[in-house]
Amino acid sequence: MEARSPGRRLESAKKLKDLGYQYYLGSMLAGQQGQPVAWITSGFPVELIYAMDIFPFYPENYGTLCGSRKVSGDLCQAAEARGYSQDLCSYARCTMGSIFQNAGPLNGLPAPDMVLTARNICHTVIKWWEAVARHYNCPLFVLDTPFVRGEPTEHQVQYVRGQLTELINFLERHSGREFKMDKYMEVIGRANRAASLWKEIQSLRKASPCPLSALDMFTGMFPIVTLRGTQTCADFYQEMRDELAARVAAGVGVLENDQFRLMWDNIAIWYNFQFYDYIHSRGGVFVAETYTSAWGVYQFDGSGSGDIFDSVARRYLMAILNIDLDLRFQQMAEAIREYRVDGLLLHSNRSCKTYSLGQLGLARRVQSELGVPTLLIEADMTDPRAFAEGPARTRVDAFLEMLNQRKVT
Amino acid sequence: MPLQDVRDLSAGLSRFFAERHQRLREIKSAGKKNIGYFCSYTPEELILAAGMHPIRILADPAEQAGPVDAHLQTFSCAFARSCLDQLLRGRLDYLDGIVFPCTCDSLRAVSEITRSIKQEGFFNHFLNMPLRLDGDLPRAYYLRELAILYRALADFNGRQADDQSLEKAIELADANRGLLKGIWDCRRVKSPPLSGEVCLGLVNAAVSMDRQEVRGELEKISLALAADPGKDDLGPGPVRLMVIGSVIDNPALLGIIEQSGACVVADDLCTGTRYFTGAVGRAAAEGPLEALARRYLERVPCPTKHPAGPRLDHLSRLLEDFRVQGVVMVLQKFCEPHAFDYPMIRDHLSARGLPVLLLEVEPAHLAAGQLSTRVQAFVEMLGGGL
Repeated sequence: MEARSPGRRLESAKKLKDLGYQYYLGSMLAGQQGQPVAWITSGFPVELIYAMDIFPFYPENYGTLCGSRKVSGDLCQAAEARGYSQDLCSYARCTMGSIFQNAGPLNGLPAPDMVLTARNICHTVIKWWEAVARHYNCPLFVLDTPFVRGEPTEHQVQYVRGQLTELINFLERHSGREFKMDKYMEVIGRANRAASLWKEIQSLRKASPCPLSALDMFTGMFPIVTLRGTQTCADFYQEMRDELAARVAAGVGVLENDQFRLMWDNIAIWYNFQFYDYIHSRGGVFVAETYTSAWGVYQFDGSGSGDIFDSVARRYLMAILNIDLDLRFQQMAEAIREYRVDGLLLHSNRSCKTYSLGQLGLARRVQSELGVPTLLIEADMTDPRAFAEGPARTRVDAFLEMLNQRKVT
Repeated sequence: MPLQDVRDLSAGLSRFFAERHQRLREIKSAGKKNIGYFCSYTPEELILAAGMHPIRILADPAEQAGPVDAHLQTFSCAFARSCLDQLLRGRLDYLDGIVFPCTCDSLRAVSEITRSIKQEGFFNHFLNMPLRLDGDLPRAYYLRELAILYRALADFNGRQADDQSLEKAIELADANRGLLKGIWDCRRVKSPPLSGEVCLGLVNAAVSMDRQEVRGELEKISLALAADPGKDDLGPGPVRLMVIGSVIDNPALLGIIEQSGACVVADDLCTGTRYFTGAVGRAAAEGPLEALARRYLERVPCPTKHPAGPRLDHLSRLLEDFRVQGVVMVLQKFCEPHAFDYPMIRDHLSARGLPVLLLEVEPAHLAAGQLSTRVQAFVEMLGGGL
């Protein structure tokens, strides 16, 4: 295995370790300190949870932690031993395995007072959360977000909006805490600030050489996912943005020599960052990821015709995995043009059906309509048993060679 | 009417199903529009009311996947892959359109892919039904979605989306559901007159054929069964199994199970009790669309819907009513919603002293030898066997 990363690391990224530590420590201490703990999904309107001073615990992020600590394989097997099929989402298996064995990177999990899930990222999180709620015998809230073709219809927005009201009642009932509008608006303000900085960070990667690649984005997305709405989150991205802007101004790239501007589709391969390093070492730099950009959409505006809940309902309906394939293609095409992408790598992720089914057609459209070559990588986000790294590297070699020839000719 | 006649009638329906592609082409040539649909969550009443013929799309157990590989990865649900494969091969060329209800992620993807490959003029509708079945919000939302679908279907066929047509369609669908339920009940006795395989074959035909014809055939079978209802007093009878799962496209799978000396007396299947349990009926205060919404929100839920509780209640009722001794859970390979529920169902049944056998299957890969060995061991454990 080669030494860590041919790329320059960000100074600001050093803080991430501490943020992660504080977050997970907080999750384990919350119960003792009388703070209710809610398990929530990455597409759930967390701003309400922060506004009510409930601790949001993210099993999906915990899955990435299991992957990067390389304990996911064992935890998945522990879940399989209890009857959870190997074909199920590996994040879910990491959670269930940790619950059953009281094991994993945190030596167990913080017991939830309630669990909150939303359909907008997948149906998997509904089933997974049902299983968690049964295990802990705790209240479960399901936010139903109908699939969007084109634009959300008015009755879809009203349906979600109505559920947000139900959610507030649910949270008040089960946390014993009162919802306060002014506090919520403060959280919304901070969330908007963080999302806007996150978008700016993405945007700075349009520069050549590219100042940042996929690894810093994958690790750097931790705050926008878990801490969205806190001051810590906004502050972190301010620093990260400033550092990147300085890099761009100085003409410094993340790699010494980036030759191929690449885009990544789907969730990261969390247990194998060496794979990305390998691509970097061959001159490939990731200038954009559909995955990381998914968190830039959570900006809300209550000043228009509807109120704030209207805006929140619309934004959460438009999550990347809740919109039609045509729209996903358009977003992808726009990024490919704006970021001057030479090649698209699609992670065909065995665990994540909503993200992966439809990718084959998307790839064909990218090739035929945009003339951009694509490469499909078969893997799994946290189950290392589903990734054959050797063959994947060989395919990357061939792909980059082909991109090189296109440049020459 | 002797029992042999019942079997002949059932065989007639099975034959229709086996020859359905040809027979459905004939319906189309006769000038009627064919609308395919997925899942028992599609209210076929709306297709009937719009003057068209509803056809449930099922996997083809006889065919290995081919062109679908260019669209869906091999880790996609085998049922979804098989259905899309048939569409791509033109096997379902008699369809004028398809209705996809929002259920699982795999079929949502099939709906999206179908949209990208089918030409203008093909009716492709995603019935964006709620995931949640509880409370007033899902009901109000669902009612809107149903109205949109009804209007779209009627427009497509140049008809009016009126209450009268819908009432007639509901009456027909309710009648067929009631008849199927009655026929299912014939297996409550110790020596059931019909096997699980035959019963499942009836549903496959009932969701493909002209619904008026279905009604006629099912009425004949019901009459024959009334005359010869099977026996409840002689000997121990076969081991009584319940089958749980999503869709079983190939009734022969139940045949394999029953060859081991068991009888499949009950089921919780999308092509079984989940399809026909619960009538629409009508309360004085509600219109037909409201009644329809109520039926589909209150029917036995499948694992793609929330909450799951009513399904467990349904299972418990079946266990008791049909004196079930063991349960076979048939899991379509890569079916996430059902795979997620397996531990819950296993625990629910184990707590009631019922052993559960998990069989993972793919429509085109029925490894009959291996399956029957496992089923035989299971049936022997339950005290049966040939």
